[in-house]
Parts: sequence; structure tokens; C-alpha cells
Amino acid sequence: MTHILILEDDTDFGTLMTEGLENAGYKVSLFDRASKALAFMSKEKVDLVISDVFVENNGELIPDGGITLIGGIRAVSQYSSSPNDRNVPIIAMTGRGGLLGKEFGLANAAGIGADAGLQKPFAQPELLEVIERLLKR
Amino acid sequence: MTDKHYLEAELDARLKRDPEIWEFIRKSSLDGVWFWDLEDPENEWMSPEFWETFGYDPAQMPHRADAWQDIINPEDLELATENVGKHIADPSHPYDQVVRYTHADGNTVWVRCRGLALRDETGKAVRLLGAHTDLTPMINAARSREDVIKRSNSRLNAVLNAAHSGIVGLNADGQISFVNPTARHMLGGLQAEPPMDWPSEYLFLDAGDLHPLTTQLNPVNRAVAGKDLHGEIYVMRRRDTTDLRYLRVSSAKAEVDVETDVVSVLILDDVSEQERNRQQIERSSRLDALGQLTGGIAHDFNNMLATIEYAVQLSQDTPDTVKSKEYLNTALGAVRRGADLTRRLLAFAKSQPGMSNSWSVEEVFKTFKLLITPTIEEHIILKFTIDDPGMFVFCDRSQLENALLNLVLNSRDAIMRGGRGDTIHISARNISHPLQDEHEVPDLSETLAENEQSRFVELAVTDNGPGMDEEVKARAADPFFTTKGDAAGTGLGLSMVYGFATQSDGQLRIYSEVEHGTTVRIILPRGMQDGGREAPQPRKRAATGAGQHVLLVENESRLLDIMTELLMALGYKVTTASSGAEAMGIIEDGLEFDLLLTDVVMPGRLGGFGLAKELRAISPDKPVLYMSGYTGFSSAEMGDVVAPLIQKPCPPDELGHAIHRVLNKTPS
Repeated sequence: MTHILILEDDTDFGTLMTEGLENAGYKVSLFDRASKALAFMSKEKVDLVISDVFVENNGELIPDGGITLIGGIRAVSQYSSSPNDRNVPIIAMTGRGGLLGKEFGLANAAGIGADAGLQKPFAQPELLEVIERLLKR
Repeated sequence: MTDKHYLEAELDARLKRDPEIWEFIRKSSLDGVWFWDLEDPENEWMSPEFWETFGYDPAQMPHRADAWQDIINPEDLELATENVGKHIADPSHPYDQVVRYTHADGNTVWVRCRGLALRDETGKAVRLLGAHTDLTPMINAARSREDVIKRSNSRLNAVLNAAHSGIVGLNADGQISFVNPTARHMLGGLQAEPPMDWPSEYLFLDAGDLHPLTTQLNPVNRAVAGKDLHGEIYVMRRRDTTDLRYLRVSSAKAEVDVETDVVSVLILDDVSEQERNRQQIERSSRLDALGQLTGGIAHDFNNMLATIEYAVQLSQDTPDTVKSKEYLNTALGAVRRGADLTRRLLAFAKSQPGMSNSWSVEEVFKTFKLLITPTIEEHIILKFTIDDPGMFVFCDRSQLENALLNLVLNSRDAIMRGGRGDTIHISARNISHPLQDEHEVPDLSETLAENEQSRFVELAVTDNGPGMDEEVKARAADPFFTTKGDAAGTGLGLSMVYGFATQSDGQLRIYSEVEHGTTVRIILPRGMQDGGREAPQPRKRAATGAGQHVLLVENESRLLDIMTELLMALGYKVTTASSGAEAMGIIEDGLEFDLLLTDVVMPGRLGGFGLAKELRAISPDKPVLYMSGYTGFSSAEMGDVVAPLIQKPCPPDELGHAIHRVLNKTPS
């Protein structure tokens, strides 16, 4: 079964995505911190990563979000004993359109090392389309 | 009838024998004696004093009644003549009145004129004996007293009438006992004469919700209760109209040596125009900030919409009705969070500048954090710290929030633009007594004595961005000065924060070190839980030293002098150096000392941190205390010698305690 890792600090939204993707036939692991996700990935193999770019704690932005996760995957895992390839497909998502350009898209995503970008809000079919495209690669 | 006193009887007898006695009485006690022949009324004998009183030579004057009738005031002559008639007809009617004569020099002479009719055996009045007493000196004295009072009254009135401020005297019952024309005008052309009640159609309102103020908060009542108001701004409205007037109200207890019906004086200044301008500026800077907030807010909204969209869709796709309901509930939760965010945003945009009140700093920070966090980029760390969670600040909350927002956005912009720095630290601490500026010489006698002083809260926004150079620092608080280019801001931000701080009886201080960062401090009066401003508190005595030797390093000579004086007053021995290199030379020469107190940023090869490192290489345990206006240095920046950092300028008591702690190695 295809294993997808999600990093999302909004528990409501993370849970919804998890359930939606499970209904679509994927195995899903959900995390709210980059550090926890990286620890998990050092032991378990995943096929695709969906990561929120910004992570907050109690209203405070903390440096334990998507950028850390993506950086960790792309730079470190190749030297570690991780079962994961550093080229695992990554989808970055954010609600912060205003900051990174009008719409968060591929260009922005590439800028932080992701393979695809999704601007929140998005619907599940949109997400499934991106997942399938990346997995086929 | 009692017998005559023997002396009176003797005087009577002597008077008959000895004409000298009568002469003496006439000359010394009377200003003129006259003796009138009623049987032949043209004849009248007048004593020399009679004419001398009126400025005439007695030798030139005839003993005729018409002589004085020419110089007496005609009205008074009429009265005197009438009284003569009455007295002749009835001896019990006294002949006694004050009459006016014209002196030879033209002035009026006031005379009390008394007379006694002498009668023959049939009771017929044949002579009238009279005496004059000159009252002119007394009357003139009274008149000049009156003149003085009149003059001083009219001077006072001229001042009161010309004053552009409304001036109102209040009596102990809270009634108006005096009102000047400007105050009458402010109160809608008030016509009534004092004492009168405060016109009930003029209401003082709460500047926030525009409801009439309670009796306790009404400035008139506060003034009568003996409170001194110091230029507090109140809103006044005429009942049933929408015309709001902003009044700056001052009051003082009346201090007079004579008892009056004024217990307190109110001074009213109409500052409506200034106040409206100020609010306009406040509003534009608020909108400015709001514009900057929207980027972050969009993020929050998109996250909520993501939840909603996803949840609704899952709910549609699932055949399980229980599950479907769960999804919809999640969506509803997101809708509520969105509504809450909108409410916060609107509250910020619409909040009216109001009156000062006491606010919990923790509470203010909590709300502020929710507002600011989404706006700040992820790689910038926002830190909030509070010295004392029970801290209250006395100011207008909406202006405080706006001020903090402006400062944090400034820091954000500095970091983003400069490509330097990653932290904005919003902090609050209690301070005892702010110095006006770092060049103020503290009053040492006060520091070492125990006395009362107002205490303050310091709210600081510190970033480790690129810092400002001297030129930018100097102009930072100028209105319309901006480094952000035309598109980014109005430049009103910091000047508005400055205005807010000073209007709140506080201060604004900007410290910046190029390549290290910027600290902006808003110093505001301390509040109390009950909503009021904290009363002055007894000051703690500064901790003093016992002759320990401090090596003081500061490149600014004026500050070096002040600090030296201060340290000596606190009981320390001081050796000074004006650069890191000079200090190192002194150390290498073998100076014996107990503490290195050094500025952090100094020109030359060796800054404070470097100096401490070189010192420790020679003397590993030597206590070190850093001082700087910018206090955002991290432990990492301090390098090898991590030591306490005090902020410049440092009030004497705080300096005393900081040194004491370092020398005694107690934690700060």
C-alpha cells in the first residue's frame, strides 16, 4: 500500500486529509512537527510527503515546519541510515498566498525544494491528481 | 441721677474761670467751631480752625453766615437747613450730619457738623453753637482702599475675560460659583448668575463608548472631591445633539487666605480640533498597519477555508451519516474560528482611542500575539516575555496595541529589508524610574535617600536586524520620515508611537546598534488591578558598595563622566578607559580591580565582548557586567564571556543592585 506522510499542524485539517486519503486507499501517517516527521522517516519508508510550509505553536510561528522537513529530507537523509530516498516526492501546501506570491504554485514550491505546490484551500480531487502525477514519475 | 465725677465737676468750674482751657479744647479737638445768632442770622462767629480746614485765611473771612454758604455743597446745605429747623423745633432731634465743603484748592472736604441750640428762658432758640470734625483723611483712605480693590478686581477680570481657556470656580456643593466668558461660551452661552448647578444638558462622556460618565468619574465631581486633574482629555456633548467637544480638563484645589465660595478651580480647553487631527493620524496609521496585516490574515483564512472545503466534500462522499455529521462539525469549527478572526480584525480597525485605564500586560500581549503572528514570516521568531504576570499598565489600550503593532512591523520590515536577523522580542518589565535620556545627570541625593516616586512599565520591542545608523536614528520619530520608500508606509508609525507615549505621561526611547539590531522602548505609567494609575511608591534605597574597584569602559565621554560620578556616589572606586584597547592596556599594566563594567559597542578593534574575553584569558574569574542601550544581544553574540547586561541609561538604584548582584554572585 502506498504510504503518505503528512506534516500539518492544524489538527482538524490534518485529520480530514488523513481520512480522505485513507478512503482513497492510501496508508497515511500524520505529524504536526517537522522533527517528529523526520524521526519517523529515519525508520519507516514513505512513498510521498505532503507538508504544510508554516507550522505554529500556540499562535507562534516556530522553525519546526515544512521548510525544515523538506530541507531535512533533501539534504540529510542521503547520508543517514534512513530507508528513504532523498528524492521522495514532496507536495508543499500553504494558505499564505500573500507572502510567497499571488498563488502558491510550483515555482514557489521548487524554491523550497518541493516537487509540487498547493495553495489552500484545495479540494481532495485536486490533491489526488497531484499525488497520482508525482507517484507515476 | 448720679453725681458728677469730681474731676468733671472741677473741669466745669475751671472752664468757667480759665479761658485757656476752652482755647485748648477748641484748637486740639475740633476742626472748627461756629456760633450763630439766630435772632440776627446774618451774624455768625467762626473759629480760625473753621476756615483753615477749608484752606482760607481766617483774617480775610467775615463773620457772616453767607460766607460758608457759598462753599458748602448745595444739596448738603438743604439737608443742614432742614435739620436746623427740626432741632430748633424739637431739642431731642439732634443736629448732626456729614456735609461737603469745597476747599480753596477745589477738592471736597468732608465734615461732620454737629450743633446745639441755646435757648432763652421761654425756650426759644436764640443761638446755635456748632462744631466741625474733618472726615476727609478717613474718607480718602477708605476710598483709596476701595480703588485698590477695584483696580485689582478689574485687572483680574481683564485676565479672566481674555483667557481662551474656560475657567470655572466650584463651591463645596459642586455648584458653579464663578464662570468666565469663555467657559460660559463652552457651556452654550450660559446666562444664569452663580451660584448655579452645572448645566445638566452638558454631559461628560466616556471617550470609548460615549456613555455619560458615572458620578465618580465625572471631572467636576473629581475636582470637588479634591482631586487635581492634570490636563485629562474628556468628551463633552450637549444633550440630544451629536456635537462632541474634546476638552482638556485641569483642576486644582483653590488655595486662598480669605474664605471664599471657591473650593476648586477647573480649567477647560477646547482641544476638539487637535484631538480630531490626532485621531485622524491614528486612524491612518492603523489602516496602514491593517494593510500589512492582511497578508497574514489571508493565510489564516485560507487554512480555515481548506478545512471547510475538505470537510464538506468528505461529508458528501461518505455514506456513513455519523461520519458525515462529524465532518460537518469540523467545518463548523473552522467557520467559527474564521468569524472570531474577523471580529478581532474589525475590533482593531474600528477601535476608538479612549481614555487611559489600567490593563493587564499579559492580557494585552495575549490578544496582540493572535493579531500579529500570522503577519510575520516563518523564519522570524516572535518571543513574548513578561517580567511579572501580574503587571498592569495605565494607558489607552487600543493605542498601545497600535503602537506595538507598528513597532513589530517596523522590526519585521528591518529584518526582511536588511536580510539580517531572525528574532523579534516583545518584552515587558517593571522599572522604577526612567531617566529622561542617557545624558541626564541623576540626582544622587534622591537616589541614596528613601522617597516616593511614580513607577513605570517598560514595553520593549527588540530585533536583531540590521540596526539604524545615527542619521536614521535621529529622524526615526519624525512624522512622515520613512526608510521604506513611498509605497510601503506613511512614515507615521513611530511618530505616532512617540505621541502616544508622551501623551500617556510616558516616554519613548530608541536604541540601535548598526549590525546588531534595534530596541524601541515605550515607558508607561504603572496601573493597578482596580483600573486606576498607581500612586507614587516609596523608592528602594540603592545598594551601595564598600570601596570595591570598578574598571569602567565607555567611549562616550559625557556618559563616562556621569557613570563615574554615579559609581563613586554608590561607594565604588573607579578607573576609567574610553576604549577597549585602553582598558586592555590598563589591565596588562596590572591594575587591581574587582569588576569590569563595559559598554558593548565601541569603536576600535576591541568591543565589550572582546574585551571581556581578553580579560578572562588573564584573569578567569573576574566579574564582568555589560551595559548597552540595545539589549537584544544573545548569549551566542556575547561569545566566550556570557555576563549580565544592563541597559543604558541605567537608573542609579538599578545600577547599584546590578553591581551588587554581580559582585556577590547572586542570580539576577
